[in-house]
Amino acid sequence: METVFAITLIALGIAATLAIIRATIGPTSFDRVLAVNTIGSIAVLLIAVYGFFDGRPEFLDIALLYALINFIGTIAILKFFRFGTLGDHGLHEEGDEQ
Amino acid sequence: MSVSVLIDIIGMVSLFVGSLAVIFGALGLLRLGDVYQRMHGTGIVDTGGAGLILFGLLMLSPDWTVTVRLILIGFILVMTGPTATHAIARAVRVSGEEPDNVKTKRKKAVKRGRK
Amino acid sequence: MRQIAISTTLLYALWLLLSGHYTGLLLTLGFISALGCSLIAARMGVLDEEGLPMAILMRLPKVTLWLIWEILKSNWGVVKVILNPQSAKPQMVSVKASQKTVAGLVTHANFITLTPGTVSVDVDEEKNVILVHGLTDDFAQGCLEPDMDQKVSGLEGK
Repeated sequence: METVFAITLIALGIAATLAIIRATIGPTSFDRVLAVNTIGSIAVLLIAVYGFFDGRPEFLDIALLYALINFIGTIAILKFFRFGTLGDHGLHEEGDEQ
Repeated sequence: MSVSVLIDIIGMVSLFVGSLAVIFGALGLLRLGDVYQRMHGTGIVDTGGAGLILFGLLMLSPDWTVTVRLILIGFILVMTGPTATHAIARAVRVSGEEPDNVKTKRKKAVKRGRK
Repeated sequence: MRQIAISTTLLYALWLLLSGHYTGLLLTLGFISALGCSLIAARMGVLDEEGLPMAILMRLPKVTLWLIWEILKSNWGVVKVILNPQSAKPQMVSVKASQKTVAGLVTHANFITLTPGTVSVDVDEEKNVILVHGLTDDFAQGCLEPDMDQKVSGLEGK
């Protein structure tokens, strides 16, 4: 049984390597965001399978959290690209200083 | 006895096919032409790969608490994956980059590149 | 009020499934945190028909099997294209949607993105049009067929 999990872990590692290559060379910054999002999805699966491999299924809680943080991180990066800031929209009126 | 062996075999096959799907998705991320096409590679990792691997783990899960967590991870991945992909696609479109949807144009470009 | 009750029930059920500790004090604390989260969400104004579309969520299991089959089919199609990238013929199509609520429209766009080979790029909620990027002719034309549209409209139940 452990062999199957080990093979799956190796396959996920290869896939993550391919995605990292795309994140390194990717011509536009959106390619990189896409690759990082994919790496996040692969990491969730990696954590889940590793929990089974090690016989400690409590790792699934971490995978659950990682899935949520991965989504929020992607949205945050895209918002930063669009508006240049995370807090507000950068659309204050003239002379609107705080 | 034989039923549990059958379930184990289904789980292992599902894990194996899922690993293949994840590798193919990452390969698509690397090989396809422009950023719009690469999103389809991510789609494979998020749906086929994640679904099959989580289904395989579900078949092999020892405990009902583990089953609940696996179903929850699958639900969250299925809900958030397409939303993140759509957000990236919309951001690319807003940034003004158009997909190369004319095939002949790309062929010419490839030929020019070879010369 | 009804939305707060539904949301509290759902959150408390989730807490019970994930917790694994069932003593009196912890059960009470779990209920208090579920109720607190629901109250905060209600104060934020996200607990309306859009934030908690119970009509769609209740009917979701009806289409799950069909959706899984579609996903597996198009996974195989995209793998074939990845093995031979020259056969890709990307194109944009506009899909008319017949959903009446915003939550239904978003569900439709999410289903389109969920099937590999098609990505919804832009959603126009005034004209009810979804702009879709398809990887090949087959995927783009398959999106224009009214099959998925009717299923999602069936989810809305109006």
